[in-house]
Amino acid sequence: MSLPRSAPPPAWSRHEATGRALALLQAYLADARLASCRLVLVTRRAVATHADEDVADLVHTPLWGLVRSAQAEHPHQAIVLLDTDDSQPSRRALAPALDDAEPQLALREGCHLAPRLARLLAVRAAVDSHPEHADLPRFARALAGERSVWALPHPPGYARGEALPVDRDAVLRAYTASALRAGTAAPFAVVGYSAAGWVAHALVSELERGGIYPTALVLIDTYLRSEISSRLISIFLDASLRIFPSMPWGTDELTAQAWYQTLFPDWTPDHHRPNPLRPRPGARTWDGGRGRAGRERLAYLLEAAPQPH
Amino acid sequence: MLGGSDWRTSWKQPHSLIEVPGHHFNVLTDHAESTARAIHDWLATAPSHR
Repeated sequence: MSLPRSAPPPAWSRHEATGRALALLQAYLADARLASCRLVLVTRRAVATHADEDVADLVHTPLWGLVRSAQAEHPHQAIVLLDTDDSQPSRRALAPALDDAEPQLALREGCHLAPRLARLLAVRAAVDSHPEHADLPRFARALAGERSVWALPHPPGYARGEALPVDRDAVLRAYTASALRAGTAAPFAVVGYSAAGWVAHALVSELERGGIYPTALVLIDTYLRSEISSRLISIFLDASLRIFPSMPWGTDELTAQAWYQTLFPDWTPDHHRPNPLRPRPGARTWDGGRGRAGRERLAYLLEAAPQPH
Repeated sequence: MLGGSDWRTSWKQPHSLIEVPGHHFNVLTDHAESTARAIHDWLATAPSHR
């Protein structure tokens, strides 16, 4: 299927284009007779293949996120996304390009380009606002040269003297603006750790409502709100103070933590598509990296923690 | 005393789960590298997540 060229009529919006593509995908997936057929969706300069390339067809840019999601949910279906610059060399290269096994590719002056690895946009946790506990640099360093990690700004309200966000929408507006500034045309996944996972999930939902589809949502040891009792919160705070004794926890951080609990009172990841990835630490594999003292602290956690309800 | 496997998140919602070394407080500090590699590998495995 070749999607309409850019310069669409006024009524042709991104939402309509995405809706049309969604209907096509659903029809393709629902028809058993097409199970052995390959679906190829062709766009014309709807994505940038490098940082300096302009996107000429913004109407169909969201389609890339939508189709990536469909590819993730139906890995055995032959769905191909191809973006071309429509140059003569690329026109000649179009049919041979479809022999590639790549599910996503671009043609520029006849050259085949595979998408780079998705960037990770990280919603930062409170603890990495302090240099000695800065987790994201270590996390990013591990992927240096392979995948870039972008840190979105800290949640509003955690900095000394910073006003707390009025409500959840205020948090989402701030994060959506940050994500757009970081760039969403190239593939990206959203990552959140602990309670920052609630924000990450809400951010992805907000982006999807606007027609922007991250390739994945990764929630690192994020608890459901229903799992968190007041006693567990107390234990978490106590453990935080014991494990990070040098962390300058002050009234601003503690107030912000409590406030964010109220902003996501009923959080549950039941609306996201595709299904999120949830890296869960296996406490039994803890290797005592913090030494004897750390081992004792872990024992404290395990002894004191209640069963999740 | 609870066993090491008892104090964990327990989702029933659809998701993909990978186990990584560490506990809640060091999964992104002492174990930042292994956590990053696990996420990277998972994303790389599914072509449309890359």
